[in-house]
Amino acid sequence: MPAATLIPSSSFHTSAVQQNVVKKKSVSIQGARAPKLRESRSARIKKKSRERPRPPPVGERKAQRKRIVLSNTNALEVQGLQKLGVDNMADVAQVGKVLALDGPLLDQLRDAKAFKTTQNWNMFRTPSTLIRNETVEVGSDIQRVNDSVNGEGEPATVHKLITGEKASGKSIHLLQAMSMAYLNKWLVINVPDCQEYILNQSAYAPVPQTDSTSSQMYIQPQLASDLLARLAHSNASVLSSLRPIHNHSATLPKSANKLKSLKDLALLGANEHHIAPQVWDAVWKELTVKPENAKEGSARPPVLIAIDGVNFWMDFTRYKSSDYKPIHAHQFTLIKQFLDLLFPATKTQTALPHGGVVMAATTKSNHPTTPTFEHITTQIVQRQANPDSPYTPDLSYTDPYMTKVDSRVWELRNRSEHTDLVDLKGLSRPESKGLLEYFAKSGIFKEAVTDGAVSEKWSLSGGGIVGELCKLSGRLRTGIFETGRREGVKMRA
Amino acid sequence: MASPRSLLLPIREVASHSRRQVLKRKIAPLTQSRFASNDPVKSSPAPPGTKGANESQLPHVTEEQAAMDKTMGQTPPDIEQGTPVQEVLQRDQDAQKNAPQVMKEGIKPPDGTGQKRSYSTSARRLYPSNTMSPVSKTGMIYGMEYPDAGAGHKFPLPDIESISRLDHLKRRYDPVVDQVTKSIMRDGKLSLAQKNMADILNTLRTAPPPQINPQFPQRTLLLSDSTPSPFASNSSLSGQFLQAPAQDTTVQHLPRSTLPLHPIEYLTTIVDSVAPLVKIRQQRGVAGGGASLPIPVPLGVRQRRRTAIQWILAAADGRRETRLADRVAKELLRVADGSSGVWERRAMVHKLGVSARSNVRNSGKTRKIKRI
Repeated sequence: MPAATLIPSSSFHTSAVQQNVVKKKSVSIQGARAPKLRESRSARIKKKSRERPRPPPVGERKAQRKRIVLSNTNALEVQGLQKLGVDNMADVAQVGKVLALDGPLLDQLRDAKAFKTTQNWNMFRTPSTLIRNETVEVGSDIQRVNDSVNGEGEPATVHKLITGEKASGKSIHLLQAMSMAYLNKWLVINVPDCQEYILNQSAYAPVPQTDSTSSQMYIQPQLASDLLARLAHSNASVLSSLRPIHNHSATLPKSANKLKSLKDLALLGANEHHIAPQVWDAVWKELTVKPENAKEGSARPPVLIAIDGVNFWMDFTRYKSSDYKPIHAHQFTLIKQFLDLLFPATKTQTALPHGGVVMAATTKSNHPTTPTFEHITTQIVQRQANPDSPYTPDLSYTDPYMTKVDSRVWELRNRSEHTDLVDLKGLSRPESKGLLEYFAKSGIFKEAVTDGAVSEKWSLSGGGIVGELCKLSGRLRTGIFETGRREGVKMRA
Repeated sequence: MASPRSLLLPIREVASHSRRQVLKRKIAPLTQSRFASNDPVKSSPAPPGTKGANESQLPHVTEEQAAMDKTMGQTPPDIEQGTPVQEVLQRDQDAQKNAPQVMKEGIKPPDGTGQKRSYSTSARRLYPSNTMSPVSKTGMIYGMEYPDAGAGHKFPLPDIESISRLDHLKRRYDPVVDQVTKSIMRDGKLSLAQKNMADILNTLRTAPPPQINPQFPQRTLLLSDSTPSPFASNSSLSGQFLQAPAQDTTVQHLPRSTLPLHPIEYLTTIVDSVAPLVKIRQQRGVAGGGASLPIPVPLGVRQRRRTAIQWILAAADGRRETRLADRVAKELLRVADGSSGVWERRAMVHKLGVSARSNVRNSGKTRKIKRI
């Protein structure tokens, strides 16, 4: 029976509803609304302008997008969380544990732009990082450099190229290295994103050529200024104790000679981008003072150079030359300088006279196609796997399907001998378990951390790919009242 | 059990002599009347004892058999009871040949060597429980080669108790999360919707826990530490409609401060807190004169949630955040704070439901509310 027939509708019904049902007189189109003679009688619907919400103020969206949140006050405090320090950074016993990064270090890392938005810092109470085998290796590298600096002989330099799958922890690996360097009072120079050096989004200018045979070089003042700003702010305490010993009056304004510390010198370039390339050269000259030439009280600390997304530097850029040809990445002075540091010509004649570590990580998200560079990395892998193989002395180019070889990149092949390649793979089971335990203690991972659960997540994350593992641990399928939902749901009555 | 089907052949009623006489007394005998060609005077009534046009047929096969048997001195078939077809078939070889297949199968050969079913349809248990165990006292299992698996199984049965309802592929996500995800999906891009949903849940996880809004104290979430507000326990509404969903005490609510740690419960709390009890159906043609009559209709749990989700998404559309996930998450947080306009909509619907409650008539055919 339709519901309509349930309602009594007697003619003598006097309810309020019935009273409302006085039929209104239909309004005919008369008077002012009526169309005039020979006017179109078709319906003219006035267009309503759509009400859009006002866009946020300029810059707010970008600020929101780039915002780094390092703490979540809702997350549980992990009990017994140790801090990363100088004493435990090379400790093999720490592998598989999560160590916290403490206060002043966080500010330094933030100033160096070491954190990325894609990393899940905003889920935990304290920013912490998992110590894996490769982390301890970097720690021992840093210790080795420290020992060589303090001892007799030449200060050691380590050159590392870090590769690995997407989300395998390459950027975090750089961050861990930077943390250790800051803890050891090193100087840290960070290039957080190589992409911005090639995208033609900041100013560039040609360098006057001194000899016609070499290719034209270019400078990037704004990027140099940003680099100096990161250097000056993140290493403020170390740089302010270093005195400049050279006279830079030839390239810099006279005021530069009155500066008391290298921090002021770096800030000069950070604040005035038009002289930033010259300031950068001056700062670099000061930092690489030969030890024997150093005057009293002008010792220099070791340097860590961290470069993220280095495969963006292995191709032509979006910049154009004066005859509108694409400029190669290696034609930019900053890029060339960093690549020369990463791939040194000889082991002994190093550009870092006070020792240090040069690390560059490739990127696999939004990564460019760089077949020549990939070929070089494969050859480095082969060389590391078989040091005694007959192919090692002469790395020959053997890919028959590669039609175009980037000659500038190919030239790096001859210098790749002293660069170690660290291929980051998935986490091991104990490391995965340590990570999952940390997630569970923070109240994010809701299952019991059993061997079965660890194996399941390890397999689902492609063999312990750490980014995927973090995603899986934070992902919730069901609520905690899962059993209660089976029967029915109590809702507001 | 293969029992022969017994089909009773009805005995056709044959007009007996005595009955005809009774009829004759009451009505005139049927005679042919040829108005055009025959002279009515010539036609004379039939003499008594004459048979009619259709009365001289052969007797029925059973009667014939009975008469025959009587003549031959054998036992005649029982006419009063009717003869089962099977008996007829047993006697008649030709009929057996042409009989339908079911009947052929039913015919029991005299020596008992007939067709048998290849499978058993017996409902009897092989091993009556408790009385007889498949395991004998010597430890042997009758007919079993897999002693570890239990009686009658090659492999052990799975532990069904450990499998939850949500372990099903199609129901593997939480019902509320699933419903919201499908609601924010556009163009069938489910994985994008799931990504957005993960972002929303992460925002809920990191946002500060909801506080009581002093401006709207009656807008309370469903929490374990909150007392029901007078608005929530609106007796005129709840008394009238809530025969359905049964109050399930197994579902718990969380205290306010722990909500962000459990984003799914947080989302569920928000959605359930603003879910309306009824919808207002505008019934046309009842009030007369083109006016429609508002009738409050109770909603099921899923429908209630759907309404709340649609309201929240509509309110999120008006926000200024660039990303969908941000808009929805911020609107959810506003609902949790009590500052969202969704609460207003819920209050309006409930108010209208109360004022139109007299339009509800109980016809005895109330719609059943589907439970989740």
